[in-house]
Parts: sequence; C-alpha cells; structure tokens
Amino acid sequence: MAAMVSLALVLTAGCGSNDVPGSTQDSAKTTESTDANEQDDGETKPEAGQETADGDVVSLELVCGHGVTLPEKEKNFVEQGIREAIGVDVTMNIVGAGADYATALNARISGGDVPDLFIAPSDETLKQYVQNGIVLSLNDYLDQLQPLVDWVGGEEALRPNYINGGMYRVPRKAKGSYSMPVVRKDWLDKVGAEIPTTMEEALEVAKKLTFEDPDGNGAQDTYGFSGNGLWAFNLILNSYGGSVYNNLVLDENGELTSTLLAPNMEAGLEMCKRFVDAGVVDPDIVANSGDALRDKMAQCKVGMAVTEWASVYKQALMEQLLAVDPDAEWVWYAPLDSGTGDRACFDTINAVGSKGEWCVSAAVAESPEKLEAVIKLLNYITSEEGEKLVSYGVEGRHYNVENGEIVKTDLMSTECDFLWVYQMAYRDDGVYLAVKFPEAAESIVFSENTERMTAYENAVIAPEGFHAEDMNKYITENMIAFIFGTRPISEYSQFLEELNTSFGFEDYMKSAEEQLREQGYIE
Amino acid sequence: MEKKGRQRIRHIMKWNWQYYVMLLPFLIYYLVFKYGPMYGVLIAFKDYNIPKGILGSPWAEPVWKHFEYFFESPYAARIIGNTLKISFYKIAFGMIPPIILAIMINECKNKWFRKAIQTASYLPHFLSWVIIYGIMTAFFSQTSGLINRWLTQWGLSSYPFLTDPTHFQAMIVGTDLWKGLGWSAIIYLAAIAGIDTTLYEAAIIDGCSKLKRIWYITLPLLKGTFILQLILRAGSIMNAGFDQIYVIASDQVLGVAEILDTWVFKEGIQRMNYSLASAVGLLKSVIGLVLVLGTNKLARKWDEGLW
Amino acid sequence: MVKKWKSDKAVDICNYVILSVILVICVFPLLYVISVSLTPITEVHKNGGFLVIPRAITLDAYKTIIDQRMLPRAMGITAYITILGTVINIVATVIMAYPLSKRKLAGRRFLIPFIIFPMLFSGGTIPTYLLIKNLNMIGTYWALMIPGAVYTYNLLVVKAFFENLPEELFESARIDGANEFYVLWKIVVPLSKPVIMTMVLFYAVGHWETYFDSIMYLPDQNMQTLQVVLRRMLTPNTEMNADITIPTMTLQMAMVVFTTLPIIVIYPFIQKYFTKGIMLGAVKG
Repeated sequence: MAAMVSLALVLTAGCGSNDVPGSTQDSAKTTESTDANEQDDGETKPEAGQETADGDVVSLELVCGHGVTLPEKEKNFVEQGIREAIGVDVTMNIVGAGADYATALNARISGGDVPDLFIAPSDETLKQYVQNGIVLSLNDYLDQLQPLVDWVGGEEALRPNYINGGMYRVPRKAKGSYSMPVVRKDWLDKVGAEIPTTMEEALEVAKKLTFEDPDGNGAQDTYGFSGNGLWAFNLILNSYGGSVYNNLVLDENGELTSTLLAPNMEAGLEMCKRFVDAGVVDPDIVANSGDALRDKMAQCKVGMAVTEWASVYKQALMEQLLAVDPDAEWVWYAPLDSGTGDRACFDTINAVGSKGEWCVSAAVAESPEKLEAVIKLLNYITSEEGEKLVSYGVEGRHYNVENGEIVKTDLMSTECDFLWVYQMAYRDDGVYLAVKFPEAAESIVFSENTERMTAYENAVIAPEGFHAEDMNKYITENMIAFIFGTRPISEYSQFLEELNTSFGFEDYMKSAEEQLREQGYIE
Repeated sequence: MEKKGRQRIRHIMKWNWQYYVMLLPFLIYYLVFKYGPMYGVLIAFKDYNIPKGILGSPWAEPVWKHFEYFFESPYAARIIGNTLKISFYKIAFGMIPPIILAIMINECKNKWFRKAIQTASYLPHFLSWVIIYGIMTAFFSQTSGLINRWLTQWGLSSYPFLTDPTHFQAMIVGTDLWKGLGWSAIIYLAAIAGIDTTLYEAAIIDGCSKLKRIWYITLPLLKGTFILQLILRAGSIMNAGFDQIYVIASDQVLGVAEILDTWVFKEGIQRMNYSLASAVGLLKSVIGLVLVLGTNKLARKWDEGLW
Repeated sequence: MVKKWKSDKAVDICNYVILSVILVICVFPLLYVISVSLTPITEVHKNGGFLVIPRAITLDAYKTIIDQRMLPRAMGITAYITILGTVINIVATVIMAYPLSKRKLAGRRFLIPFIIFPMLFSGGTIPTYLLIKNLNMIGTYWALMIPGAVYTYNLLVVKAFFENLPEELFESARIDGANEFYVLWKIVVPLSKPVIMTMVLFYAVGHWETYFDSIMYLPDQNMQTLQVVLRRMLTPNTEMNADITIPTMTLQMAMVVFTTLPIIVIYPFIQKYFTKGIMLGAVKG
C-alpha cells in the first residue's frame, strides 16, 4: 500500500512538471540547453560539479557509442593523464552502439542537451545539426589547432571535414586497410601447387584443394575457396575493375564511374561463376560470419580464405588455427591478375579516410574556458605525449621505450583495450597496430601495401527520396543470382537497365558527381 | 427475485466509487506516460529535423510524402507480403501448441518430470536470437552442421537449410515456436492453476474420462486467456519478429525473409530517417487497430471480448 | 470411488512420450550452449566443430565475464532495479486490473479500449525521452521503473484471471462491510497467486534484461545495467584493439548461462504455485 501511495505521488508530481515544459519545449533554445547541461552535470557527476566549483578545472563531457566499457572514473588513467597534463576534466560517456547510440544521442539533442564533444551518428544528421547551429565550425580556430592540423596531414586532410564551407568535424588520420587473401601453404605443397598469381591459377589451386584431399583424411570435406560474406568475391571482381557493391571509383580519365559499370564486370562475374560451378566454393560463404570462417579454417575445411590479417595473425588466434593441425601454414598473397589488363587489386580504401567522426557543440564557444579546454584537448591528443597516452597507455606500466621503439608490456593487453575511444583524431594506424600486435607486424605491412581501389562513395549522400538501401539490396540479390547461377550473366545489361528504371541509378550517379565536384575530388 | 436484483444494482453502484479510486492514479499514469508522448506520431507527416524538435519541424510536402516513399519502394509489395505471411504462419502454428503443452504439463503427475519439462521448455526464451542463430548454424549449416553431417554419413546429400529460400519461412516459424513454446505456456499454466479443483472432482465422480475433463472443463476455462492472446496477436500482425529475422536471415534468403520492420530498420532507423520509420509504424498501428476491433467484435459473440 | 478409465492410461502414456520428445528438443540445444561455454575453442575445433559433452573444461569465458569492468556494480544496480521495479509493477498491475475485471464497472466499455489503444500507437522514443527529461528522471533509476510501471499486456492477463473468479466469493465479505481494497487484498490476491507469480516472473525478467532504457536514460557510466555492460563485450571490435582470445559465440553462450542462472534459481519458487489448482470451496466455506 505504501508503494502505491508513493507511486501516486510520483505520478502526480510527474503530471505537474510535465505541463510546463511540454508546451514550451519546442521553443526552448540555447538558454534551456545550457541549463540542462548544468543540471545534468550536477545530478549525475557530483565529483565533476565540485571541480568546476573550485574554478580551476574545466570539465568536458564526451559522448560516443562503442562496444567498450570504461574503467571507473577514478581508475581511468587516460582521463587522469589528460587532467594532469592540461588541466581539463574529461568525462567520456559511452552510450550504446550503432543505431542505439544514434537514437539515444538524437533524443538527447532534441531535448536541447548537447554534449561538449560527440560522434555524429551519420552524415545526414550532422547536416541537420549544422543547419540548426548545434555544432561548432572549427574554421575560426584553425590557427589555434595547428598541432592537430599538422598531425593529421595538413590542409589536404581537412577537405572532407567541410560542410557548407565550415569545418564541422574534428579531422583525423585515415584508417588503414586490413583485408587480405590467405592460403594454406602446407596444403599447396601436398597437392603440388604454387601460390596463385592469376585467376586461372587460383581456380586450379582451389580445385586441387577441394578434390585432391589436401588434409589426407580420405574424405572429400574441404573447400578450396571461402570467405565471410559475398564480399569475398571481390578478390576476383576487383581485379576486373568490378565489385559486388556499387563502389564509386575514378576511371583512367579521372571521370567518376561505378564498379558496376566496369567494362570487364561480366567477365569477372563469369570467373566467379566458374569457381562456384567447379564446386570449390564454400556453400555457406554468403552467410559466414568472421568467426564462422575462422572456425572452418581452424577445422581444416578451407584452403583459400578471403579475410583480414587480424583474424589470422594475432597470436591468440593463430594458436587456435594451429590447434587441430600444428603444421597448418597460412600465407598471404598478392591480388590476382585477371588477364584483362585491369589492375590487379583487392578491396577498397576510403578516399575520404580523414573525414572525422567527432564534432564540437556550438555551445562550447559561448564559454571561453570551455573553448580553450576543447582546443587544448584536441592539440594534446595529437601531441607526442598525448598520442602515446591515448595509444599505448602509461609509460613504464603499459609500455617501455627500448632504443626509441615502443614495446608493449603484458598489461597493455589487459588494461588498454579501451584507449581507442579517446583517439578522436585517430592514430598512425600501421605503427600503432604493429606495437599492439608485434607478432602480426609483417602481415600488417603487407596489407597496408596491397593494391586497393580508391572508393568515393563515403563522400556522397544519397539524394532525397532515393531508395538507397533498396538499391543496394537489389544489387546484392542480383550479384548472388549471377554468381550462383540463378540468373544468367547474359542478363547483366538488363540488370543495369532495371537499376535505372526501378531505382534511378543514373540520377544517383549524377548527384554523386555533383557532390564530389563540389567537394573538389573531381574536376 | 426482482427486489433482490434491484438491491444488487444499488449494491454495485455503492461500490463503484471505490473502483474509481483504485483506477484514478493509473488512468492519470496512462494519460501521462502512454498518451503524453503520442504526439510523436506527427513525425510521420513531417520532415523531422532532430534539433528543431517534433512540433518545430516543417510539415512534409506533400503531407503523405513518407508514406509515398514507402509505397514507391520497388520492394513494398514483397515486404508486406512476407510480413503478413510470416505473421500468419506464426499465429496459425504458434498459438495452439502452448495450450496443449500447458495441459500436458498439468496432466503430468510425476512431480520430478513435471518440473524438468516445465523448466526445460521455458529456458529457450532466455536465449537471444544471436545465440539461437549460433545453435542453428551448429545444427543446420551446410558445411559443418550436425544434421548435414548425419545426412552425408547416411549417404544422402547435404541440404542448405539456412540459405535455401524455399524453406526459410518454415525455419523462421519453427525456431520461433521452439523459443516461445514453454514461455507462452506459462500463462496457460497459471490459468489452469486458477481453475476450481472441485469441478474436476465432480467430473470424476460423474465418470468422465481424462480427455473429456480436458475438453469440457479445462479448455472452456482457457478460452478467455486464449482469446486475449489472439486479439493482441492480431493487433500486432504487422510485427513478424524483427529481432529474429534481422539476426538469422542472410542476404541469400532476404527475398522471403525481408519484413516491414527489417526494411524500416535499414532504410529508416539506421539512416536516421525517423519520419519514414514513424510513417510505416503508423500504418502498422492502423492495421493493428482495425484487427483488434474486428477480432474483439467477433469474440464478443462468444461473450469473451476484451470489453 | 473413482473409476479408472482405460483410455486414461493411454492418454498418460502418450503424454509422457510427447513430453519426453519436447524435453529432448529443448534440452539438447541448451546442453550445446552450456558445453560450448565451457569448452576451449581448440577442443571444439578438434572435434570438428560440434560437441555436446565437453571433453576438456575451461572457465575462461566465465572469467572474462566476471573480470569485465563494472560488472559487480552493474549487477547490483540491476538487482536493485529488478526488485524495486517488480514490486512497483505488481502493486500497480494488481490494483489496476481488479476494477477493470468487474464486468459491471461503469464506463468499462471505454476504459479498456483506452488502455489498449497505446499498445498499438506509441509516440516513439524521442517524445518519451522528452517526457522523462521533463519529469527530471534522466539519470535516475526511476526512469527505468516508473514509465513502465504497468505493462498493458500483463494487465490484461491479470484482468482475465480476475474475471474467472466468481463474484459470489466476495459477497459475504462485502456484506460484512469490507471495502474493495480489503476484498482485493484479503480474498482476490491470495486466490490469484498463480497469476501474480507469473507476473513477478514476467516483470522481473524484463527488468533483469533491461538494455535500451538504460542506454537512453542513464548516460552516466557509473549507472549502467548488466546487459549494457555485457553486450558491449560482444560489439564487433572493428577497431581491432583488444586481444580477443575467446570467440564471440563462446562468450555469448557463457553470458546467457551467467545471466539466466538467477532466473532459473527463482523459477522453482514460482512453479510451486502452478502445481495444484485453487480450492474455491475452502474459501467459500
């Protein structure tokens, strides 16, 4: 009964306070949002509130969505390190991940409560934020942010971060590329084959690894070719200038085109189909997750796999791969030559890799201390000292410097798995990964140097009213149909025609061209 | 008799105010928490702009723009078809088994066995679809699944359970039944436990067989619970199980597995087109409302309507 | 006195056979889940990817879960929300269901559609967030308990159960001058233990698994619930920063065993109330 009474009280209280803001919330502007900020800080983080009362330390709230749990505030050596170095009390709040993060952040922002720094959930939303003056343009502060700008690679790296002429994203370094094809070298030796360099060789190798019983168990239970998802076929298609996706690339004349329109796309699909028809492709290839592929590799069911270095060469994973057959030897190899004159390459790199994820709340500019704190923070994490802190942790505990090289300690593996959420301007990916995974250093270098396609679709927002997801789905479904033979490849031109009539593919390309021209990627 | 009846009415009137005292706080609760946010459906008719808020966002031009966008999708017909089909199968094959299971458990006199089956059957409810998909792969995968290994050992050819579109809807309905069977039976178990035992005793004395007792006593008393479930399930006919299908359907079977909610998730929520998501949600709600009203009207003919 | 029917025996046998089949279909995959969570992945590989009885046991997956940052704290918070939240749910649902179960309640024809309507139409996450913000509940655990105090589906189930209780039961109490609260508390609630315990189970499980609300309404890292902390371990680590040694699926299966255990422990206490029907006669007498 007591519970009921208290409930009723809460309810009536709720009703009363609901009346007022309910009617004014939409006219609520910056005043309310700053109020809300202070209120929130006071309520949820009393310790942070005390610091501001001291007047020495400025606090910043950072919000992002990732799959990491941070240590308790008092044990968080990154936030402590930042505070000691620049006197800014940073509090990172991780709010779900993926679509959940977007929903939670958008809800918070529609309530007028904008975090000081946050990751923009998508290009479209960021555009809305910009139009409504919620995020801060860093244009006016570029001279103060010079260390950051130099670190990410100068003016050129800033380009993808402009929206309507303002730099609304914190620029960052580009992510490396991790994908690579690997093959069982010990099996190749057993069936008397070499590491393939051309498509035809690869097909022959795949056949041998399927039908010549490379594991010697007398059963025909191996598949020559596997990967995780339809994407694996890009090992073939990319070398024909094509792709299973609609990747936007530049042709030899510097004109924008789509991989779907590649002149040799049909030949590439034919080659994929020859793999399938030969019975060498893992029938689960489209449904495979990364773990499922690795399981099959470990269980000696796969000869050639399209994967990432990180799924193979990390020490712990290598141990798993060797558990069943200690003689298993996985080696990487270069993209295959298709013989069509197209450049042999595999997978794409993002042409706009330095497009930042983080943005700064416009409200920050209203408080000089906060603005200064943000600038200090961004410069700090890109300074030599700060970069080490957010990349490798604390010297002496998580790493040691030996002959000028950073060498990780065991504690880095256990205590530093959350650091990357503080890498707001990213990192020197190759160097960083080699420190973290010294055992995989060679494979990292190899994947960094693999020939890739440069893709521009990440700089493009689908025009309004365009069914972008539907078109991608249609492409995927048809690629599956062509490769697995449920639709004849002779209908490929018809498929392109359907893309136009049903989805307006040409309009999409036109809009993409305009957008890229505007951003200065094409002339 | 007449006098008694009038007395009764007066009696009930006398107590009615107490019912309203009980209800009032909760009616306010419903108004605040369930009706309060309902203005959010306006998003469906607006070009929702997050910072501007729901009321501040401009009206869509035309107002039905987002509905139009949905129906203009080349996939609209297929998505609606799949949704209705899967939902219908789930109702047709999924609503009766929990009742049967509950009755069977209730008839089971061995205490140990009864506890075992009850606990075991409700446990799958706690497995998320991601895990169930893991289990499905272990059992049904074409290359490494247990069942296909048996098939090939017996000299049969392997079957692509997880990637063949022709039977994938059966897979969806089957796994859903497996997951929810025991959990849905709990409500019926509770309802059976609420049945007056003297009814059974009387029936036994009258010489009724077990099946007859189930048929004439248990089932009629479960009718109310069943019809409640049916009406509510009919109201959510446009929900064919997002969590499940999003996880277990690979690209190869999307043709038969793509439903409204997965489409909206990819096209609306992931791309933060909340107006579109809301428009489709509104369509679903309207259809649901019509079905709830319809089924309730039917149910009232048997005096079992919700109101 | 009681005549045994031949057909009854056949029915019993059929019953046991079918139930045994169901038992196997349910238990076999669960055994698989448990054994995967306990087996080193290398052992699984050696066995070709499938095993039901683990040959070697490791508690690594469970250790990883227990060592997860914030886990003890998150468990405590979730237990608190589960207990307090369920109490609120039960009190609210029972008090609300009782008047609605009265067929003679004036206005019932409008009240029930009134409560069903929001099951079909909801305003969506953002207006709900704004409401909770305006009630100053953001960053408080109330946000996870009050807005969901009554779950309409459960309300209707309880109401349907109450409707099956014959009205005559309450008459004598009323004639003795008892008010409706007394009738509810002293007569209806004791008779409704099966359905109330079912609701305890439904609500408690809902709170125990709370995830989305926690993300939405509890931005503070120190206030996260169990599922939030656990699910983070599963987000695909595209940034390739962690030294993953345990496959995601193993971890997931260990996680489900770990989180479901408390519920399995509670279930027998609830089952108790399903075992025998109630004796209305005794109450009447």
